[in-house]
Amino acid sequence: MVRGSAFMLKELPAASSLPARTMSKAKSGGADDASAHPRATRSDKGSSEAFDIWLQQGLHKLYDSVAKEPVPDELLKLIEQDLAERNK
Amino acid sequence: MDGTIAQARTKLRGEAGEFHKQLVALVPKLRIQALALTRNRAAAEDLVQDAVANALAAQESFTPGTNFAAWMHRILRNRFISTLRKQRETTDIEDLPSSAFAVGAAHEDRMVLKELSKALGRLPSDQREALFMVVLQGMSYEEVAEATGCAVGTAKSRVFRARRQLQVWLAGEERSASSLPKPDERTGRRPGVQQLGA
Repeated sequence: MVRGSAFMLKELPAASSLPARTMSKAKSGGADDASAHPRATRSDKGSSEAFDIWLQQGLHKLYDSVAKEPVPDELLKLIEQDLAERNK
Repeated sequence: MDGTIAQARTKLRGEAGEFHKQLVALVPKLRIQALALTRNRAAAEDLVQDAVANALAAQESFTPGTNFAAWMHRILRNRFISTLRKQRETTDIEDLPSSAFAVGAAHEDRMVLKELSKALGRLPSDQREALFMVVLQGMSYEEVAEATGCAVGTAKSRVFRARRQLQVWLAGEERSASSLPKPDERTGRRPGVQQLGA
């Protein structure tokens, strides 16, 4: 699972801005791996922050195009029709 | 008398125009909220249309000068709760934004986005909604709380839990999700947490 996720973090182009330390940690799952520590550490926080940045970029990649779609004509007509009726 | 009526009409026309302008401007954000709730493009479009119709019918109940976006997000949310909640399990990959998976993106990039999208689909709808509001729409926790009718602490918690749950699923950072259900002692797996690549 860690290996698979490392692949994901590595392969997402936006993730190139992730801190190299976090990337190598995720990739190796080595001694610095957060899961190896009994309590939260500074590296946990860094790892979470790096993931949050990655997540933000991924969400924008997925949904920005949806947000930029024009308002459907049907919906515009509904709103304009209501406005016209109120202006009578 | 006639002058007073004319003035009232002019005022109403101005307010109505402003209301409708705000409504049109908010449609993209409503669409994202609807998609967060329904995870289905067609259902999301229907939900936005229904919410807009409800808002137009109830516009006299909106107080000019108050938070229009929060008022609209609440209407859409209530509409979802009353009519679509039972249908939200119909999600599949085809419902996701196709443009994100289309030409231009490398194969690995598409795979990653699909994994992210699938994981998003497994989040509770209220967590996904709060996450989208904060991350995609730049709303503050106070605004999310007002738009979704919950306490600010609840809004923060929803976003936090969504982020950490996604981290567990996608990056294997199990310890970061300390507030999540404890793993099963026999299998070592957390209830409801599917192991990627297993």
